[in-house]
Amino acid sequence: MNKQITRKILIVASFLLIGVLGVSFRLYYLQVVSYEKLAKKARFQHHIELTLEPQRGDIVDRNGEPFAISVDSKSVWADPRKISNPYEVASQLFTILDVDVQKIAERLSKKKSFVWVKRKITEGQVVKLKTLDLPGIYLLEEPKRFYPKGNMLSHVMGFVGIDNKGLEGLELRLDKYLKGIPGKRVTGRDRKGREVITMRDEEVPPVQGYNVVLTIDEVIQHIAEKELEKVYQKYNPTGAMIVVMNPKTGEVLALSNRPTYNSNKVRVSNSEMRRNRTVTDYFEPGSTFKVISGAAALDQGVVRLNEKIFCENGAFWHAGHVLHDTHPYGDITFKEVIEKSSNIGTAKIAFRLGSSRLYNYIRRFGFGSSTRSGLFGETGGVVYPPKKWSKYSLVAVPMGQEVGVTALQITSAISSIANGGKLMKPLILHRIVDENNKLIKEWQPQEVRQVVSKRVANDMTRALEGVVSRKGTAYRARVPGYRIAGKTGTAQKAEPGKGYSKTKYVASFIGFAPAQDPRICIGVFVDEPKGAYYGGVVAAPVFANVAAEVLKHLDVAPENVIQVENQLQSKAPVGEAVES
Amino acid sequence: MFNRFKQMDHVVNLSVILLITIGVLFIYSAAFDKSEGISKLYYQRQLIWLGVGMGVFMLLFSWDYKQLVRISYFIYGLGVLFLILVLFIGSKKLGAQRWLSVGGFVFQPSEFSKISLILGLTAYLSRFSDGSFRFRDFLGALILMGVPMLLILKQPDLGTALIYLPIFLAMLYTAQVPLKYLVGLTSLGLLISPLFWFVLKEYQKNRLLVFIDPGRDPLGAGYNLIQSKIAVGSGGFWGKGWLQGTQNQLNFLPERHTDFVFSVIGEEGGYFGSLIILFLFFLIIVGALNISDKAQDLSGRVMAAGIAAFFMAHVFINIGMTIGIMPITGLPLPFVSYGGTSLVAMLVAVALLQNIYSRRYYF
Repeated sequence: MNKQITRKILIVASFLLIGVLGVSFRLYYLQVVSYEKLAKKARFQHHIELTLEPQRGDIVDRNGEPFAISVDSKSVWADPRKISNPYEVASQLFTILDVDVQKIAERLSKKKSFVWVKRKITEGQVVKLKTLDLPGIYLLEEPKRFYPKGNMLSHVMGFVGIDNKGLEGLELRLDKYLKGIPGKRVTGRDRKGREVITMRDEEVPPVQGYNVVLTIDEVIQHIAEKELEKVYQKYNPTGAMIVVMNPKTGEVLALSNRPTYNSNKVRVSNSEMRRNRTVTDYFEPGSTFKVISGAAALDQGVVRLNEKIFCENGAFWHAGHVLHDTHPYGDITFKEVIEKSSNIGTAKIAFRLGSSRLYNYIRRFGFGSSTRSGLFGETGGVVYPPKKWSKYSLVAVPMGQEVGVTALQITSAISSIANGGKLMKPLILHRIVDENNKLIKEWQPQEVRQVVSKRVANDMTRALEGVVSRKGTAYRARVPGYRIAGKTGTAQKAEPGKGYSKTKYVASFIGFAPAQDPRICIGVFVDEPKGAYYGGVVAAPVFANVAAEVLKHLDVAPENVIQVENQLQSKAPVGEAVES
Repeated sequence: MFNRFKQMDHVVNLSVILLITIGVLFIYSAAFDKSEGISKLYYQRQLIWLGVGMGVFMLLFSWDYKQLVRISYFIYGLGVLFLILVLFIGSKKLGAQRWLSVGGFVFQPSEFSKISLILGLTAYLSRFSDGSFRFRDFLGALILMGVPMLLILKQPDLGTALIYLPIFLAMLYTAQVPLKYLVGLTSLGLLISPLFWFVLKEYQKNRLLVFIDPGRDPLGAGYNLIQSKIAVGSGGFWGKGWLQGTQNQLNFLPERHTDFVFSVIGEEGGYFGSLIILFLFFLIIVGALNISDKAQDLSGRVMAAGIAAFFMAHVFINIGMTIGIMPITGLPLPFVSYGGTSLVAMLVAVALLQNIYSRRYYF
């Protein structure tokens, strides 16, 4: 009896043993054999790697004044798996974020774990969104680019896309310095997709991007912008440009274009407004180019400053064309040729020089190749070699036709005259530093070459001072208390297939001050002004206003005006001369 | 009295104490909120229920089980009455009507009914100590099981209903009931089991389907199973450590302080921890079988065998479902899962075992 019972109990016990062994084997299979696979699955469920966006470096002027900075902002994203009623959620989002309901609802219906709703929203929107507390809708920190000066220097700055990647201007060109290194946060999330702070590990903090210091001076930039805007309003031109340089170092102190745009509101701009014309566009400079041909002739010794040139009383036949001067002149000195901007006088000097030497000097002044200033989208302009020249070219080229130059090129070429004949490479970048102000990269002033001798530069400066006298074409460029040197340009625009326009001009003035020890060189260019077109009328006053304020800003002491005027004026002429 | 305490099966007692301790620890872990650094109050409530269970244990241990068998029909009737009551005034949770609220405490009659069935069957079977068990007696036993079973299926609670079968078979088997009845019943059951498919509710069908293929509904019915397997498997050999289970702490595991508490143990305790749990249950069940073997009389023997089957069925169905070798049913892991009625019922079962053991024959 008892043996029988014990046997039965043992049979039941054998079921137990089978069960225990079965479970043990199954556990062994799961926890030992399949461990790797299942641990990977577990990790996949809760493990997240978040990219921590680095803060983009600032762009500041030479005195640390910010032009582009990063500000904290938040972006809205959604986990569609947690949203059961996409349309309802989308319309609620619409009331706060002003998003397209249809588009957002579609996005929220996707079989994904992450979709953007709206990037970089305002502080007010953040508060409203938090009070709504919609399930499946989350916020993420994302630094946003902000340009505190708005329109100012926008052509140089460019802008970034929604991912903080540079798209134009220095933002694009210097992207690798500015962008920084993204960090990484490895963390856990729970079943609802929320980050579990206590599971954070191996966080690699983002490295902030480098800061870029420009050669720009915000005060000068402000002056330049203000005066350019005035001329833009007054003459309603298709475009206008101004470049302010330090002739001794090549540093660009201010640079501005019209039309313009606001880097914070790129969406309401077009490429026409965004182009940095001072480097992307080339044009025929007109008479300002006579400084180049004149300096070349002086440097080669084919003419002296006080040498008399017969200017054919205003009409000169050459190569089947008749060349005119605005006012007829007979025998005048070479200095007067420059002062009065005689085309005929310039042509005669060019004949002495010859095409090959002229071409060499043009290239040596930096034309026909990019200045490599560091600005975005820079072109080299157009200079044809003499073998491509026509018979008329030796007349046209010296007075600034048949060549294409950029505003920056010609301003830097005139700067070399101001700098004793030394051409400096234009600089827009001063240095790059890290967040602790440690120097990463620096741009020192760089001499490109001695283009003409110091003596020739001084002679040319004297002639250019004459331009700004009562006898010259740009009396309106004068700045009381300072000696000003400069040259006007009133270039007829070439119209394809029709020759030179009688109505469309590029009015320009490039000058420097103080003439005896130049601190600034300013180029002003007004494209197709309406109502007036002479460089001496349209562009020279802009120069005068900017130079006056900038010299004051730079603490350049004025000289005794009367004395200077007396030195310059041998005889007192009446009225102003203008040139073509 | 104290002398009788010494007569208890201390291996069983120690195993039970260890399992309850482990249970409280892992209920604590399962309800632990990492960001707050505290656990929800389940573990405290479990400790309160443990106190209640200890009281009931003492009571049932000191009272000779042979006297208890005399009022067993009454207890059985009480169990059936509770099951009827729950159908009318029970509170619904997760689509099933399983709970009775009594003065703020929630009471689960189906847990109680497992014990009352064992007692009812004991009383019934102990009449046949002379070996005169006939077919109509067998039918009587079937009705005794069938009434509460149908009431439980009505709730519906398939898991508990399934627990009745091994208890029934084990008790009748050790009660010297002719084997042909049991073999006949089992064969018949297997034959008609496909028909049950048609009476199953949709969610029950789904549970069975995902048991065969969890991938058919990974976010719905298959979710629990997939997550549980991931949790257990990712624990590896040594486990991730107490409170360190990612699947547990990050809410990926469902019902983890109750039915799926073993998944938490598997994840945080690893294969090592799982085997310890399994071993402790093995000791308890072997102990129960030994008690059955050594019992003074037929009633003690069948009761202990029923209790052994009761533990076995719970352990294998519960652990089996967390590791994907059993379909998902709502059965607790004895002594470990959170749940007051269940814990008290399990302690009652241990008290009965010790009662029988302390009054055994000595050879």
